[in-house]
Amino acid sequence: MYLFLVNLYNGYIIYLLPFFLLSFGISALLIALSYLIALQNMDLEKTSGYECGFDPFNDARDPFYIQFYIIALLFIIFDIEVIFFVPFIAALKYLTFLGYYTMACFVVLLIISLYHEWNKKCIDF
Amino acid sequence: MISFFFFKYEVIVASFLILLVFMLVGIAYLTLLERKFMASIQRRRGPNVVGVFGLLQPLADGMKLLLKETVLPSYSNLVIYLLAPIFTFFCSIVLWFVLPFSEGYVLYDFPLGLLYILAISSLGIYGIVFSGWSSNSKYAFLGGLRSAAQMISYELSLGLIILSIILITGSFHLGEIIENQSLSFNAVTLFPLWILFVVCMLAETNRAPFDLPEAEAELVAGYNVEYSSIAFALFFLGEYTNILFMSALASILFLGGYLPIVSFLPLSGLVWFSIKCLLHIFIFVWVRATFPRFRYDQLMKLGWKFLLPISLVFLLLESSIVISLGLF
Repeated sequence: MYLFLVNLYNGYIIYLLPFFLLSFGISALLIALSYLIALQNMDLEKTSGYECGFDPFNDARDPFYIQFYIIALLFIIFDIEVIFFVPFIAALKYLTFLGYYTMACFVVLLIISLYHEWNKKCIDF
Repeated sequence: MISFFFFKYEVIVASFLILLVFMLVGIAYLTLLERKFMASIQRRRGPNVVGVFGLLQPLADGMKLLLKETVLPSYSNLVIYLLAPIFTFFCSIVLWFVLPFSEGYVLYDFPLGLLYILAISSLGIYGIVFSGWSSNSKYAFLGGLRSAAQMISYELSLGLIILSIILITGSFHLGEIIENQSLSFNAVTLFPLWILFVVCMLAETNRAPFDLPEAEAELVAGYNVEYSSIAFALFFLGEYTNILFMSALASILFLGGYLPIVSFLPLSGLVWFSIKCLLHIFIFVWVRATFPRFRYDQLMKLGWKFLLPISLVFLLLESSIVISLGLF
């Protein structure tokens, strides 16, 4: 069964595209189905935003805390590091001690940056 | 090309439909399992009115949510508002394509399965951000931001732990990771990593005790406060699909997927895989019923100041051991 399924695909992931579209379609179909089946009575109170019973003061397009932006920036930096780890692990057999040492230098630089952010209280909320 | 599609493609489509149907039924009954199990821990009974032992409860819930009115808020950006639950559920379903349930029972045998899984889990965060932004309410926006920040913080540690597993296996292929555990499970050789992975799983799926973004007392239902009926149901289903998927992934990475635990019990690979999945699901529900919620700054502190340095250093340590002892 295993080899049979692998041979069916010939290694092309594009053959999964109909399944991606089908999964997307099922979710869209559920929403469309609910919209068609249920009774819709549009009311001013129902379609306004939630504000614990009051009328909404203003919308959510105001500036937000900069901490979230800083967390996203840090995530990008460390995610790039994780991405760099992937070929390191895949080719570990051929990178002898010198390769490991190079990667360790890279990681130590990033750990120093994490320490600096810790000190500057960037990751406190 | 035509002869390729003549008979063989039907087999793939049939296996996809079987996977989809069993997965949806499994998720529906996972909601019931969670309620019954949490009720048992709290010394009461869960739903037992609808069917025998409450077994028709998921059907009743689904019907109710389908027949409720879809409220489209007037201030929201409609396209993104409707795209968000669809995208979340789509990302959760698509992850299941590369999981092996038994020897050879995998929909798409991807040699880079774990990379695919990491990529699609990162995509799942978009759904939360879409829903938080497009429902034009301060509660939803703040809940979406907090939830997204939490998920990206724990995703780093998740990726690093998965990389540690890949290191000792030497391949990204999920089937090969399972076969590599035929002598001893990864939970035995890398026990602390298993614990860390369970903690990261809880945080990644916005699940108690890390469920502050959707707690009722803080932000009323968080990023899905403006959603009703089937859109809310899709978020809910997406969350439970993620729980089920993460349990399956943890069973594959750490407990050896379809491999038997004890060799004298002649059960099939599918049964062993289900047992291990159920163990992780019980851990999820048990932890929800037992521990109080983390405060948000405690949560971010755990993610950035504890889990990230530990997983990073563990990965370096492991690669140094592998290189110095020549264990490829």
